Amino acid sequence: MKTAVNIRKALLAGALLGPVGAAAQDIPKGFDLLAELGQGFGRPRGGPTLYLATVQLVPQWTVVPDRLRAGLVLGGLYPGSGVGGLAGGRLTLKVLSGPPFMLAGSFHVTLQGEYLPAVRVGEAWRQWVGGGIGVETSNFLGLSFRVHRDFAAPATYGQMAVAYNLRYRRTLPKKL
Amino acid sequence: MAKTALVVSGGGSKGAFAVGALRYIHENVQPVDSFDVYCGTSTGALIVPLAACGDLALLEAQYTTLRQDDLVRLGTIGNLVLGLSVHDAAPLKRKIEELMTQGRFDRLQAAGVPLLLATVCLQTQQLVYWATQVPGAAPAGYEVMPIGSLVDLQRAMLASSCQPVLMQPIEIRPGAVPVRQYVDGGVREVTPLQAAIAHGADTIIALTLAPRQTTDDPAELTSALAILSRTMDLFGEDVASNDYRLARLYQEGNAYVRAVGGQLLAQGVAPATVAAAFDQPASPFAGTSVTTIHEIRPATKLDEGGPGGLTFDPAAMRGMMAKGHAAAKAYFEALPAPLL
Repeated sequence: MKTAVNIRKALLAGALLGPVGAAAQDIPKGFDLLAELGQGFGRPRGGPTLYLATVQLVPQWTVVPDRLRAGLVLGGLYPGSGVGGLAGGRLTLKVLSGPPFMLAGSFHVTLQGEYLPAVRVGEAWRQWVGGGIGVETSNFLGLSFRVHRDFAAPATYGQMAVAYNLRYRRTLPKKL
Repeated sequence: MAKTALVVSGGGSKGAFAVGALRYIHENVQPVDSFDVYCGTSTGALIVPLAACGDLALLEAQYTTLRQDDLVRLGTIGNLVLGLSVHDAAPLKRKIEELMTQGRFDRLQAAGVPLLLATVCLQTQQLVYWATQVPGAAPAGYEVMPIGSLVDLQRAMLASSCQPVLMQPIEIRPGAVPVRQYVDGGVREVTPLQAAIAHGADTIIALTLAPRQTTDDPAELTSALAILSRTMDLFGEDVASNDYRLARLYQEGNAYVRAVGGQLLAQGVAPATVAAAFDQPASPFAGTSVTTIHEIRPATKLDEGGPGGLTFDPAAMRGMMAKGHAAAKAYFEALPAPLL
């Protein structure tokens, strides 16, 4: 095999295996566990804009490889005063793949939908529903922008979150 | 006694071209399991052991049905930083284990035919041939390691096929000290002619899966990336052309020595004297006898195999197989006399 030429072509042409194959590992089969840190704002109707911080563990199972993940969202939040917890579910749908690089998937864009029926801050229970858009690379790192609406109280929350997959190593090539 | 060698270069899915050529050779030149030496690099290292077993139909079936997923599990760019390789060659390992069975290994052993598979060691940077028969004297420029078991052969086939960075390097004997990781022999020798010459082949049928030279590109290069791309093309082509340059030197040297010897004999010099005159320890052609290299290649790039030959499309591979058959037919029919 003209290896040097091949590697050059893989590096520079980038389309060796085609978009379908190259994206096969964007959302691999199995279970992943994302750790997320987010910050943003909360804006109750008629009230001041408040700082929002979240820390979450997001266990996710692949429903349709390379396309759809579903799972739980479990974590804590600081909505400007006091701290609380949140729990619910998330669906992540891949909608776009970036160009392959070295035959490999580079990044992909997702749409996320969340329903968090158990958000508790102080003595109050809330229900959040929302969604957003995310960019992920290598089933390893992700960045997402999400907006939630509080069902129980007229408030809107927006945040940017960084995600790190604690189980990314499961998909790395092993020694043969 | 004249020795013939079959040499097959690397090229991924373009190996279909070689398999098509082998079909013509088998039916019109000589049976594919009747060569005296077999040498392969990369996809060639997958082809020649099965050819030596006479399993041409199996090769044809594989090289018209293999798909991407049968050979590699694709990874993501994060693997470049975090992993041993970008992609995972585990499916290829399974495929080799499926094809190279104990029965086939036993047949190769029983036939006693030299089989040499080219790899490159990442630790020593040497070209290393894994061989079913190791020559007595150490050849210059490369190492030869013995294939002692079925697992050795399977792992040598895998190592020869694993392009560095894209697929994992292979420890042919895991746990050996010092550690030795092997990758695609095409890093240093695309068409492994040297081993065939060192094994005393007179006649070599060499199947190379790329044209002699990439077409000239008259366009002005206006970016560093484009210049890097062209430069790496040049490096790759230089490796490939050097394989033939050195082999042709041996071929021409042997032809010259024979011609001079013939002249001396014609002029009445005693055969023993002629033989002694040429039998010098310092002779660069000692132990070699190659006089003919049949070089069969595609006339133009096999673009349907994709860059790097890693596009495995059954329809495209059937087309490449037909091209290989046609190229071999055209080559051998143009020879002034039948090869055998």
